Amino acid sequence: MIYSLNEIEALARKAARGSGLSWGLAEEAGKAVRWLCANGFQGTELLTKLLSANDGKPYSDLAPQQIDDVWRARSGMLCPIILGALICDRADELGRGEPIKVGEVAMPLMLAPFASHAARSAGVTVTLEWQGAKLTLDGGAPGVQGDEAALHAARTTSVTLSQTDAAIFRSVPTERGRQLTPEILKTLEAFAQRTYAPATEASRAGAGAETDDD
Amino acid sequence: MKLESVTPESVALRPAETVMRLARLGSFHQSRLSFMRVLLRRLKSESWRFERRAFEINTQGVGHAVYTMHGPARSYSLVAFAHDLPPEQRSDRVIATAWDATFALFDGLPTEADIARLSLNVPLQEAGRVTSRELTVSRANRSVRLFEHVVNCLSRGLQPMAADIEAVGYLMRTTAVYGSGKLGAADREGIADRPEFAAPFQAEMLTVFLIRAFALDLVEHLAHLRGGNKAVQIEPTLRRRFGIGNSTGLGMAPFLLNHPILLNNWINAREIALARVRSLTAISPAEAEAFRIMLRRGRSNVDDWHSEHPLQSGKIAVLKTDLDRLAAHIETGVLEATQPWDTLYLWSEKELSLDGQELLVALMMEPYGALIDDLPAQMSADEGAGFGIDGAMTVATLRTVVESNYAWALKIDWSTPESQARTWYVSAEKLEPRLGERHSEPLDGYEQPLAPGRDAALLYEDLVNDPAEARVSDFLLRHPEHRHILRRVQITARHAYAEIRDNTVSADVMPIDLLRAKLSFFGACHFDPRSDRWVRINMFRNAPFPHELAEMEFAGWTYPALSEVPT
Repeated sequence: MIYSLNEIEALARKAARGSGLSWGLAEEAGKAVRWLCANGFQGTELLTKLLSANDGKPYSDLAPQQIDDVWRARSGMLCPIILGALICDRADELGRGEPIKVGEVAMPLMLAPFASHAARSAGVTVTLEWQGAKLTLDGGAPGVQGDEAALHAARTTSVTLSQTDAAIFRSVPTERGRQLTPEILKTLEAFAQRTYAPATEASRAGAGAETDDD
Repeated sequence: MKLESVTPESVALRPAETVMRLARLGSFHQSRLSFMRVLLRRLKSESWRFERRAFEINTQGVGHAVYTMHGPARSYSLVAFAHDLPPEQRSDRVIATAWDATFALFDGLPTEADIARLSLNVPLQEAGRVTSRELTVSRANRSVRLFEHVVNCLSRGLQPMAADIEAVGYLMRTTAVYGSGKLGAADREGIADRPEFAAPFQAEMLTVFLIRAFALDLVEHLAHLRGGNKAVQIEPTLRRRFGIGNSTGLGMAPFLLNHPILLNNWINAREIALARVRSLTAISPAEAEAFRIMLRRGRSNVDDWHSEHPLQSGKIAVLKTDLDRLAAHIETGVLEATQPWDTLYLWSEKELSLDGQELLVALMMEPYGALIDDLPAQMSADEGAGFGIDGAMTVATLRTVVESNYAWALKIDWSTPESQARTWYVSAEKLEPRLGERHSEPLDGYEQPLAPGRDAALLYEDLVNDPAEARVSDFLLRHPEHRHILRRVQITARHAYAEIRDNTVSADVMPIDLLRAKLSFFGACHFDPRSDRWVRINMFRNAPFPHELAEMEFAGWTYPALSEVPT
């Protein structure tokens, strides 16, 4: 079934929050998945896999730390949402031509919306590159090189993000990104469900209209 | 008076500390800038044409109708489904599953196949799906009191009594009007570049405007089916006394908090309008007369405003006293003084209630369409464009922003139970925002980020312990829990009116203040709170009907007509 981008963003935000990310990072996840889906990528599927893989892991394990110029997780793979937020927050450095080097990261395609946003706010064009895939980003529609499998890879050992003066051959987005399978919907809704409180009689009372006879 | 002849700087905008208080936001009134009035001005100035393309409704009141507005470049069609709803199923709650009528606003002219598709989905509302060809989805219930009474009168050849119409104000009330991608409908970004949707909520307002027309046609149609040749239609002046009702509950309350840049743009436009009017050095006799007429019509509108809610009925009583004093005061020569509007406004700050001050603000704008009607085009917002965090900002700078824009929050002792008595959460039952008792309900871990004052104070505690020269990007890496509020704080540095400067989780918070602020921008009036968390309103009362737009003069239509004033 086709979903609107607003629905996709709201579901992604809630699911990310349900998985344990802070509200601010969950908002980043919502915006990122929206960008991916608007540009024809399977953003909801990537998020589903990411949240399922990281469920229960503490922030401190996933958070990036810089060792010898390379950002790595303290334990295991980096989370592309947490790392993506860091990329946005360091857009000024990217604008000054300093590359961002990343070690092992899950779902590297999920870094694209953040890199795109950082490029726009720094007023530059950047390439985001990992094994078999390369995206050229300036805040508009992305330029995409690489096959499906490499683009939607579940992990990669290193990613480089750097300024470029290359021209962008923009791809035309399809509606595919807005198509949600029942399985993806079910998984994301299960994560989102964790943010909902069981209703109580006290809360039900007075929330809306009670008399309907006039 | 034209925009070019004004020096905008001569009167400053009111500061956010004055405007962004819940008590004042909860005293706002509709104005020239309200979205319903923006819509009707556009339909009139661009000569939009109305067409009733289908009306197939049987004696049980079941069937469908298609109401189309044809604009200069595009047409939009309300597809209405009328249902035979057993009384025991009639509920205004968002948790209802059946309604008297359901609607979608279609982008263009629907084919038979479109109507067939919509007929399988729109009546189900949340349980159905629409597509990007639909701009809104909505539903309405009849006013049981008035609907049957009017059908009965008309079927016997009688007009309904004006007093009976006044007592309710509408034949149907909407219980939700969904836009912006809800249930699969078009995302706003897909239609935002159309001039007719430049101002906010225009598709939603058009939907409600056409629903009102449908409700009146339906009641006359059913009267005709019942009474045959004896039946009459409603006399046009009396007909315009019917608005469309709306019930709004807690679900809408978080909207203004969740759209800080949009909120800023609404308030900013209104404050610019006020500053432009206050900057005028003199008033022409025609403008003074226009204002006097609007004041009388405004008074008449307040006289039509009834509420049984003790707080609201108290506010209405004070407002009437305010209007008496205002009427007496303007006869003392204040309108002939230098910079008369500024003088009058400053007088109101000392002499009138918040309700009185804000009604004066709205009335002062009425004679000045040429001066302020450009502003609604600036009232939309791209929240995404303001989403990014400035990671290069230093902790020292961020501290000063908190100290200046959240001074009110830093003064609150957040350790007291009253200061955080409430908590906003979403219920698993219907996925709707609710307000719970933090200290007595099992809501730990479910709080929505709707307490910016408290969160800013928590952020500040950690900021003072961080090195002044540290970057925000590094602070956030260590404190991901502050990312949401830090984003808001940075937004307030760029948008002064983005934050409500009051505690939204205190023991005495009144969610109806949030509802009224939003609904006043829609153009609603006759706010009738039924508790501190839900409100009934009336929309498009006194407005022309779609087929009357071309012939009628309707400046200031919200206010009951005494005599028309020039636009």
